[in-house]
Amino acid sequence: MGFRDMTAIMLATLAALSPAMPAAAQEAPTADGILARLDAAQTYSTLRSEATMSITDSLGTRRTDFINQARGADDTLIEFTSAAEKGQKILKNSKELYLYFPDAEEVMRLQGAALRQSMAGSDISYEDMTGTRTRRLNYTPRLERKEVIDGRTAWLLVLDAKTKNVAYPKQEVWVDAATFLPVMVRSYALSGKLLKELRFSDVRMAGGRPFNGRITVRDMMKTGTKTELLFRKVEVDVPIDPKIFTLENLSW
Amino acid sequence: MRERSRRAHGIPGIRLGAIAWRNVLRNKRRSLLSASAIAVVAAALSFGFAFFGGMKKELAYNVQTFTSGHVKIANPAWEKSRMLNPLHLGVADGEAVVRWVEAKPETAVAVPRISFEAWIQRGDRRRMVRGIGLDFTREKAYSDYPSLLVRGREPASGAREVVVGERLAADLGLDVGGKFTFTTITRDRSLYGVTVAVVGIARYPVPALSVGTFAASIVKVQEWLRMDGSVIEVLAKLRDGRDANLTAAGWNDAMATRGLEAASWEKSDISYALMQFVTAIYNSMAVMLALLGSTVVVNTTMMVIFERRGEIGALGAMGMRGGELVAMFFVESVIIAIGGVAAGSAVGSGVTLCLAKTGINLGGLMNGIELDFPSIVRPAPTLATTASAAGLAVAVAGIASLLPAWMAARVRPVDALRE
Repeated sequence: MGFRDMTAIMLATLAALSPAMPAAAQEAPTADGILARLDAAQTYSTLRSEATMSITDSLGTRRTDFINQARGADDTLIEFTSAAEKGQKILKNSKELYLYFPDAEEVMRLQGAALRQSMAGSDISYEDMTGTRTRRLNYTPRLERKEVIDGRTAWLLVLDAKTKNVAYPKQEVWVDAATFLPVMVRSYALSGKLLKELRFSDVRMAGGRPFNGRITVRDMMKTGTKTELLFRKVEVDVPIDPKIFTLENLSW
Repeated sequence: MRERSRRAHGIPGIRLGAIAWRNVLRNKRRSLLSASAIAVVAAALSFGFAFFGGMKKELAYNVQTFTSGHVKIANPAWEKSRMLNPLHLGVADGEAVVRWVEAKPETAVAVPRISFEAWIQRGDRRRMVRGIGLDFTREKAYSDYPSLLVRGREPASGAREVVVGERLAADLGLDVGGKFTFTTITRDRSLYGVTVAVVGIARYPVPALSVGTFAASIVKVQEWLRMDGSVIEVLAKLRDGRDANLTAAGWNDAMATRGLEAASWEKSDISYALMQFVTAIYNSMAVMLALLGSTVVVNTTMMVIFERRGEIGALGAMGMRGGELVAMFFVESVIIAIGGVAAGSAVGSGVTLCLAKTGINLGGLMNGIELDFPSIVRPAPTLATTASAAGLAVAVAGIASLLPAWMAARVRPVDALRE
């Protein structure tokens, strides 16, 4: 789910969700209601963002710039623009994830163990990006409590996976009580071991809607590593050519 | 008293050698039996010593050429976790280190290398392979790389071209002019994919290299893996007569300041240590084989003694001393052993010389073994190995004859003559 949260602020809204949900959810907060608001707050019809990923590990800190374009709950195209990774692209739809490298004549479909590899050497794995970004389809929520975290009042939801086709069988999500954006997400293995932690901050507005401008990701299986995503420019509901989300377009 | 006196003084003018030679010829079939046992031992030892000598020689060449050089410079942390392919634990500014090594008077030639993991996806099947980044200009002097090519040419520097191991190419249906795409993990642990053109097919003397590797220009490999000028190791071959252990020790002070370590090939490669172990096992087996052969000598000598008991008694009655009797049987055994060893060494050396030319193909046995053992072993017979085998066989035969000879010396002439 790590990358889903990262990209969630850039993701397409399923238009039907937003208008109907808020009132009911605010009056009587339920786990399902909060989760619906969370999905809605992170979903956009179209989104285009320019961002920098700062990766800190044993090699030091390096920066990678990329452009992210998304549509609805499933489609994402990431194109790296930094000199070291220039031309590399990642295309994701609801079922598959493809990589394009400028030195390769074939587009690569990632599957199996390869999905666990790190994206651009960061704390985010390709597996984090797979599947739909609508959590309600994959998780059953349970409302634990309301608490203040990182200075923001948040609902703590515990999500248990309904299916095995998700990266993490269990998650804890702290949802901002005011904006319904995520404040922190902790993802666990089936054994209960903490695998990944995401913290969200720098709330800003884009297209009249709030979004988290900074995400800090830590892969808890690594020591001394950290990945920070800083969104410099975010545009929502902008026209995006649907062709860019096709496999044929990937190698162009 | 008289008898004791004669035995104490011995038989004047006795020629033990002549008597022993006559006795050898008295029962030719039995002598032939003893000699044939010694011949088999001598032939086996002669071949075995040459075989292992040849294998060690070729293993040393393979280790020095493809794995460790005479001296290998690498990051010690990389060695410890090499199974994880930690490309970030390399030799920073590899070119500078190569030049430093090249400038040393003891260095004959030095090369930088990068070894990395990769996989080739064919449908749902993923084939794990190993890529090797080589400086082909320097490799010409270091490994005579062009001589390894069975088809095509070396990759051009800076081109997306590779030479593929012969067996790997056959498995993937690749040949010169073909292409394939591999995926690898870069120095910063990111995935990267590359499509390369096959410009050459190589047959390496190390099966693991032919079965699972492709080689590309080190400049391109550095670019693909984002190595930032670093390499994984620098290998050096030394001028003749230079000691690898001493040289490595001498270089280590300078290398330590760069966080690197220089190690001699005998210490840095497991294959050679394994070979030493196998040789020790073979030497033990050689001794066992010699002991087995000695039992034949003991048996036949014992039979001779039982048959010639009356004669032994007569010799004793005539005044032959115990020591002379022992010496006589010892000389008999040595004469037989020399004959057997001569025949055995001739056969063993003949077979060894033939196999030294054709080689013994161990390719099938070495498949899947990621060590530097050669696929074709050419036994290396030397005067020393042949002489060692012959000496061991003669010594064992001589020593084996001592026990029955000693028993013969204890026979009382009176008892023997009465029987």
